Amino acid sequence: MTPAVEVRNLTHYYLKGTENQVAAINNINLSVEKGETLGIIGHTGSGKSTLIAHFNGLLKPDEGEVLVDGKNIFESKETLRQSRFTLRQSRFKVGLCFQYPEYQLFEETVYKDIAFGPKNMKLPQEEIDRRVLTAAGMAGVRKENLEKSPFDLSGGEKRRAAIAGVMSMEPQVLVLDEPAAGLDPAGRRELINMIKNYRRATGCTVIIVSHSMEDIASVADRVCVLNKAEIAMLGTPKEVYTRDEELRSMGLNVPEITRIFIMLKKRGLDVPADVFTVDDAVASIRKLSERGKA
Amino acid sequence: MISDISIGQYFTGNSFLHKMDARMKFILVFALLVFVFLCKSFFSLALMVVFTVFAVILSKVPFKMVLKSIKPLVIIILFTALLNIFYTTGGTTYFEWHSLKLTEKGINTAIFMAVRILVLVVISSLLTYTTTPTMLTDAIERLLSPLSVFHIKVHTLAMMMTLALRFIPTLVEEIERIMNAQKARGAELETGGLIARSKALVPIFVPLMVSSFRRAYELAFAMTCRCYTGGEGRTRMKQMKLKPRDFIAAVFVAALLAGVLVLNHFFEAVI
Ligand SMILES: Nc1ncnc2c1ncn2[C@@H]1O[C@H](COP(=O)(O)OP(=O)(O)OP(=O)(O)O)[C@@H](O)[C@H]1O
Ligand SMILES: [Mg+2]
Repeated sequence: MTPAVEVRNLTHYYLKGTENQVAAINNINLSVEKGETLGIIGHTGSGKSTLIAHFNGLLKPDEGEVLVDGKNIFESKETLRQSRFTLRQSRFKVGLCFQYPEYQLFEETVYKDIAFGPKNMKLPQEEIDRRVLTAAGMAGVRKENLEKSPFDLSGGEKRRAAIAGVMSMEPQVLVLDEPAAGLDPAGRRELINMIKNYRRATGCTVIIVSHSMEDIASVADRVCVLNKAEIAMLGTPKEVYTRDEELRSMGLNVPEITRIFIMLKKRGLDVPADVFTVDDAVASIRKLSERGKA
Repeated sequence: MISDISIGQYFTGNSFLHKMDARMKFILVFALLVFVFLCKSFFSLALMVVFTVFAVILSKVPFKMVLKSIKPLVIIILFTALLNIFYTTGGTTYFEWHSLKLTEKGINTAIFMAVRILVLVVISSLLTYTTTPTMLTDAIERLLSPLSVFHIKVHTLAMMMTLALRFIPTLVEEIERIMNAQKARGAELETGGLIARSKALVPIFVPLMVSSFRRAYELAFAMTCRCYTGGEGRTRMKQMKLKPRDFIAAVFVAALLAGVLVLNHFFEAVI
């Protein structure tokens, strides 16, 4: 099967040609399968945002190529446009939701703002209405907020509205850059659940950038760790999170709960080291105590 | 593209001009601009050109940078020249077509005007190339401080200018970010007619306005929190002091004035 998004030997420089030239990403090879959820983590400035801005052609690679659906998006103007939308299939290919997307809101009402994307796709009005309502529902935008001005919402509500604005284009690949940054714990949890639901409902490919190892562990099928502009690790959460020491040396942490379990294991308790969420932890402690009773 | 804007751009350096007192530079540049208008003959203007080239070399700002500051004005210069070429008549007529007349005087005036604008632009851009925006506004504040007699809040004006200059790069960055976000939602910014294009600006400018206001409030809060109360009783970390080099420059410019006046007197006036 052709991967949904694939990058080959991708390198991007900022401030090219000046003495401050830096490679924000360096020789990246990555392929994302259709229907999978990929988590991207890495310390601040490791190049995560730069990498994902290539997926829909907002940034042009200095070296290497970007393939969406097996096609090089920089082949011609037409293919670049198609990486953002294909008019005939009325389906967005790669929907990118930026870090702090709430600053892109501009319309008079939340409803109109969510409809901005579908309108640009020149869809018929009924289809636009359907998509806005579906996206708003999935992103958790409350009904009574739809007719409000986006500037009257709280930070978290704005975030949801902005994410709905990207979801309403029903992209084949949804890319979210730190969607949960700056939200309270309940908001984070809801957002993660929302992404899971979205994926279950649509079967789309989802790429999610996050600083939170817990969040990534609970949604991602695979994790890609960026370190200093390069891919340091790539694998299932289990494979990646057991390399505790290495992650720590890159300025990252395994989830709090995993660390506790690794320490417990070191002290001789018979617990698994691949516990990433509190729910898993509760389950495995139950198991342990039941075994103790027996 | 947008990030090429070179308003108030400072070129880091350590030349004679960089080291001059910003107040003196400001006054001298103002004087030089007046001199340019005093020039009547080609010879006095030529003296100004020579002086300007000398100043550019002295500043060690690469010629390429100076050319960059002229580039956006090329159209205005050409337009002025074209207007003058047909507007003024006199002397030998080279060419005539209906009411349009190409005369010796017309050509001379056109060249004179074009060179004059060029000199004006280069001299004023040298000021911004060799003076940081902060120093420049500081100098303006000091020079205008006598106006506080008339209850004009000079310090506040200067602070506003500093802040405005400081936020130009931030705004440019912000515009780029918002443009990308809207492009990702399928906004077409580079195609279509004039109306379609100006409509496409709405999704860029509304968020830009909103975030500018937000930023202004935040900045005001931050400044208040650090006990900013305006100019009263404020002292400076960097005191401005006139040095011998400032007086040397002043004498030099005065000599230039004399030169311009003498040349004006002895040679035929173009305008
Ligand atoms: N417009 C730009 N001009 C110059 N350098 C840039 C620009 N944008 C990013 N960089 C540099 O490129 C590197 C990667 O930036 P990027 O935004 O991709 O990091 P990130 O992994 O998304 O970080 P964060 O977690 O803070 O969002 C950083 O070192 C940054 O300084
Ligand atoms: Mg980022």
